[in-house]
Amino acid sequence: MARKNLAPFVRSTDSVRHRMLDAILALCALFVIPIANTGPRLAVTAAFAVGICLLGEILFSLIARTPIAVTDLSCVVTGMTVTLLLPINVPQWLPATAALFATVVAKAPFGGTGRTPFHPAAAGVVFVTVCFPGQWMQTLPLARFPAWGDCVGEPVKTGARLLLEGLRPAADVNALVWRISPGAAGQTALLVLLAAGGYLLLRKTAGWEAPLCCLLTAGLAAFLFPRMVGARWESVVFELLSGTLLFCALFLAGEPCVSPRTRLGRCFFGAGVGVLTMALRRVGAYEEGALFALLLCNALAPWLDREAWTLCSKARELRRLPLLKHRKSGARGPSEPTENSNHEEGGALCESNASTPQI
Amino acid sequence: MNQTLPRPKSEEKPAVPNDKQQRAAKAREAVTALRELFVNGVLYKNPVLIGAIGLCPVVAAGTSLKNGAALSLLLTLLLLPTCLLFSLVGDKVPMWLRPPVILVLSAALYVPAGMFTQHVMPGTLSALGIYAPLMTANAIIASRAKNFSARHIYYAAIVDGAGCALGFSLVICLSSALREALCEGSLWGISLGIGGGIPGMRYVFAGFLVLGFLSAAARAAVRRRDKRRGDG
Repeated sequence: MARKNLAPFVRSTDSVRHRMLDAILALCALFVIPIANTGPRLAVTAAFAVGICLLGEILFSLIARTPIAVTDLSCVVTGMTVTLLLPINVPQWLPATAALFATVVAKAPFGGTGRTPFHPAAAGVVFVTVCFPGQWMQTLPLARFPAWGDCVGEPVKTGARLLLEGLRPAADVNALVWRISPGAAGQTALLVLLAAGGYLLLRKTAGWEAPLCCLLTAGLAAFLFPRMVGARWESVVFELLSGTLLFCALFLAGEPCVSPRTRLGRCFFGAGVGVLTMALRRVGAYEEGALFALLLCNALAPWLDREAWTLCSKARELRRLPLLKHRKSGARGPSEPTENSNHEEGGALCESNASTPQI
Repeated sequence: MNQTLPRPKSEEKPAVPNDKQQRAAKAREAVTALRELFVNGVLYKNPVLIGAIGLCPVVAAGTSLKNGAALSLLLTLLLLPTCLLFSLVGDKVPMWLRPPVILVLSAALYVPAGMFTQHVMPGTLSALGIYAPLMTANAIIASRAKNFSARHIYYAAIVDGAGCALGFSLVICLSSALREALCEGSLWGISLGIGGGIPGMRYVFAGFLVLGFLSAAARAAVRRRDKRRGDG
């Protein structure tokens, strides 16, 4: 309670720094297996991206004459997230550009951490995805990469790409889960990703509603409309484990400052991300739709909050309707005066709630 | 602002001894008001950056400096005559009839304006495609003619129209030059020697991004002016 007013989005007792440290710890776990398999390139890229992030933040603060707020560690989280959302072999200026965009365009102008309408790291990665398509974004098979400089090799098709073409990403599900696979760096080792995401959820750094609803609706969509031939449950597993959907759901969708504030709103938000991701995968030009879906739902977050609030107050009103009340009390025995007074009280309560939506 | 501007039907003033001095003071006041009107159109009440109207050409069609210049020329050629005509006859047109009248007027003006633009900058109209004729339905024209010109004297309407046209031109030229430089690495079709840039700057979202930053700059200017006024 003592640290209640540290940032606009924190309502629990812990601070922004605490949350960021949790996030950094979870993100660090994702670096271990890629670094063990492909050499120190990923760490170097992440360090470069974080450095550019800090530089961008400091420069923006100097130009806009605002206090330099780099101690909340959000730059470190943004730089690491951006690096993990891109393949390991991309040229190092690409994550750096994404990190710069995330800081200078998506975060700092809106007032810094906690006031961003869009997830900065997602915005940065989407920016480089749209702006540098083609050979910059292609994925190479996992091998020893040089720590600095360009990687050469024959590009492979990632799981998301194969699904886009209507093919199976792997022979069977076990191969996908237990082995490391090329693609976004954060999705290389799926079990570690699940563990790190679970840690974040358990520590309550991220809300559980949005990730859960996102994965549930995406799974349902994959079950109902499979893109590949084969069993439906296989389609569900492959769709959930390919691309950046899992990373997006666990690490980005639960972020408290870009998702709605009401619980029902967060559920809607997660469901929206899941449905939109699957829709974009079906009809979109890019193989990956999760980040686009997340940004679209970020824009809808205030509206979702409002709708959730209206829905809640409507439900409350419905519960207090004389008809239902009558039936309920009829079972016990009619009591006119109490019913009337209850109804009036209920009406007044709803009205006062409607006039002061606390969102 | 509206109070200081001279009205078409000036009220009869009682005769005073130093009539000349008073008239000079009045003229000075009018010039100050007109200057303020012009600067408002260009910066402090810029239709695109502060009013957020007429965004379509800026974000969708303003991808190269040539396009930006052609659209600026088109808007100027459409806006000024419309404003002038509406300041003369707009009073007689009822409010509900004004939007269609403005639309018809600017559509009629598009024929000579388009021909002139085609003559000055050959090939740009076909490059612009649908966005060139869409300028006739531009919200800047509608708003300036309906809300300002119809109720003000002709020279005030012209100054306001010129200010708004210059404001729009500055915004679209700046944003399209920036986007062309970032996208193609060239300016007015001439290579800058910085190599190929970011192909994504051609898309609409880049237009909104650039516009957002320009708008922030304009708002900062407004805030600074307000501060200065508050101090003075």
